[in-house]
Parts: sequence; C-alpha cells; structure tokens
Amino acid sequence: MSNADRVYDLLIQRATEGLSAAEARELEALLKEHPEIDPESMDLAAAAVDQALAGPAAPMPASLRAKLERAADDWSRGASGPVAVIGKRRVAAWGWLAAAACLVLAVAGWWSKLSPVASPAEARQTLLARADTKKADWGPWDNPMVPGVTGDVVWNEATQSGYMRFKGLPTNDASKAYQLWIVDERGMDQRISGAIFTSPGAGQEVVVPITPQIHTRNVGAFAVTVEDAGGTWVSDMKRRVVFAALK
Amino acid sequence: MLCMCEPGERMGVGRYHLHPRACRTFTELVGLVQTSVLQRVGTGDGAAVRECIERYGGLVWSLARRMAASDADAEDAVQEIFIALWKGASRFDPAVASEATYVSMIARRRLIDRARVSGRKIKPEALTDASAAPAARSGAETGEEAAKAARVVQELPAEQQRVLRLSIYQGLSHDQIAQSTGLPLGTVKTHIRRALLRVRDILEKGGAA
Repeated sequence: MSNADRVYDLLIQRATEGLSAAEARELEALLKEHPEIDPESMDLAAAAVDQALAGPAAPMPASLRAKLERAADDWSRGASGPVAVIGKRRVAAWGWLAAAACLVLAVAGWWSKLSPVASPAEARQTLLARADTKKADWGPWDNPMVPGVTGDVVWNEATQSGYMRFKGLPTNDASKAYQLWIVDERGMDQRISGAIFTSPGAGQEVVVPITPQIHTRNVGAFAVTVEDAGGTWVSDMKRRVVFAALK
Repeated sequence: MLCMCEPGERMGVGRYHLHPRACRTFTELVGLVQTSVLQRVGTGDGAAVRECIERYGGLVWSLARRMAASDADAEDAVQEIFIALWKGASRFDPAVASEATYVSMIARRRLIDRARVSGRKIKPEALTDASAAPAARSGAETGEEAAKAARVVQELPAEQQRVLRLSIYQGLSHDQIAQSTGLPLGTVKTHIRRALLRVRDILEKGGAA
C-alpha cells in the first residue's frame, strides 16, 4: 500500500469511525508528506452523504435551545468588535454581484492575514482588566517531574475564556503533552478539557489560552496533567502537574 | 476564476473554481457569500451567533440524537458542537463547501470522537437492518452537495448502499458492520472507500453523478 493510499484509508476512517491517538499522529505525519491531499475531503464527502440520507431535521428541545441561547449571548459579549464592522460593511456594499463575490472572498482572506492579533500575554492582560475575571495561583504539587513550577490562571466565565501562565514548566518528550482540565459545578466526573499544549522549556514563561470543549458552569478549579500527545477524553488524572482553585 | 472543467462559459452562467477543492455555479457562490452565518460569526457579528442556532439547531440536534448513546449525551454534544462552530467560524470557506455540509462535518467529527471515548454505545435500533434508514433524498429536498451525494448513493449496488448507510447514517464502526452483515471486514472497508471517493470526486469536479 502506498503512503497516499494509507492517507485516504486514515481519512476515511476518521470520517466514519474516528482515529486512535496513534492513528491521528500517523495521519498528521503522512499529510505533511502529501500536501496535495485535501485533509477534509473525506469528512466533507461523509457529511454530504449524511445529509443525503438524513430525514427532515427535528426541532431541538426547548430547554436545550434556551441553554444554547444563553451560551450564544455569553459568546457574543466576549466576541471582538472592530472586525464586525468590516463584516457588515462587506455585505452592505455588495454591488455588482460577480465582481463582489470574488472581492468579498479575497477581502476576507486578506483581512484575516492583515488584522493584528494580540499575543496570548496581551490578551491575558486584557481579560485580567475585566471586573468579572478571576485569578488564582498554581498551587504546589508533589510531582518530581515538575519541581518548582509557578504561575497563575485567569478565567472569565462570561466569555468562557482564560489563560494559564507558567514559569518553570519543563518540555515534555514528543510523545507527551500537557492537558488542562476544568472542574465546574458538575464535579470531577465531568471535568472538561481546556487545552492541550507543550512548553518551550523550564527557563521560559509561557502563556496558554484556555478553550473549554463544552460550555462551563461556575468553574471552581483547574488541573494540568501529562497525557499522551494529542490529549485524551478520559484522563485518570494520575499524572497531575499543578492545580489551582478559584475563590 | 472560471472553472477549467467547463471552459468558455459566460460570466454569470458558468462554474467557478475559486478554490481548488470545489467547483461552484455562480448562483451558488453568490448565495453562499450573501447568507453565510458562520462568516458573520467569525467577524464578531453577535446577532449571527443566535442565528446560527436558529438555522442549524435542528440539523445538529438530529445528528446528535441519531449518533449519541442517549438524549442527555446528545444535549451535551450539541452544546459542544455549537461552541466549536462559533470558535472555528472564521475557518469556514464557502468556496470549499456549503455551510450546511460544513456544519454537518464539524458535528459528525465531534460525535464520532465522543462515540469512540464512550466505547461506541450504539443504540439497539442501529443494529437492525439498514433498510430502516431513509432512502437517499432527491435534489429538490436537499442542498446541492447532498443532492450530488444522493445521486451517487442511489447508483451504488444494494450491498454497498447498505454498508454506507450503516456507517454514515447509523454510525456503526467497520467491525460492527462486518459483524451485523456477515461481510468480511475488508469488503466493508472497500465499499465505504469506493463510495466516499466517488462522492468526493463528484463534489470536487462539480459534475453530474
């Protein structure tokens, strides 16, 4: 089997039944060797077949809709403003359809490249300036792998965003990564993955954005563990590095 | 630029290949750009975030209810999917796929990952005969890409259609399909591979199935 065939096998497997962490790493490596293969092609094909086979969409339960709308409002409050103006002007200025269709696509692409993006450290400072943002220091942890790691975590429930800051966090070997777990009012049994990241080395300060995989409710604590590269959904939490509790 | 698949057509009626992965008619292109909720979410338009729920809530909920082990699990998955959609909204490119297909793709990825983690607890009804799944719908009922996919599915031999439905619609793993149909695992994989590659070709080239 050629490498390209293997890429398609893995893409099809991902689109239909998912990949293990090892298979995902293999796919990532193979895709670097085959930039001509569109990594989303099989996912899109499966999605189109799904739509073709699916019956009419069923309405969501009202309670779920209400939860989503609350999450949407929280999200909107945290969304950035200036770019929105460009988006509205872009649509309103639609004139000659053929030319404008191309122009809009081009402007969208150029804008994403040209607009300044705050560094994680700058974004952390901005978030920290909000009155409803909470901050907690990483607590000491008896893990011989990471002696003396310090830093803090800032979290804003309304925007569902935050940042971790570390000093003294060593670099993992390539097979491992750090993973943040968020514990909210639902407790440890439903801990939420908040980030998968690496460290440039113990001698450097690192700031990592927190991006929870589901909407959190009254976050109480954060814990960082060492997991296989790519992260996991089912950490046994045995390889903990640091822990912080919000007051 | 005009699509090289159909050279020489007049602007406004030809097909356009603005992206190497997809060929679109002019009408599709204009429609996608004008109505893209995700692009508006990606640019920080707060109203579009709620509009995204309005437009795709039913689609995502239907997918989640079908592929999740329980309604409670489906509800958690739907919340996770919408947050992923909002966060990644700026990555949506209407030149590559329709918005509904893109939303479907993101939702399926999340649901498949969740199924793997939970040990793929498929609902019992999924293991019944695949004829319980609806037939592929006609173009009039679906979007352009789904209509093309439906034509590909309808042209497949019955056994391949059944395997594809068990995989894509019912969410069974390749092993589970082999067990429930009695087909060798290699045959199951080949059927799925051929069908999806055919759909990909049709979507990318923009031709008729």
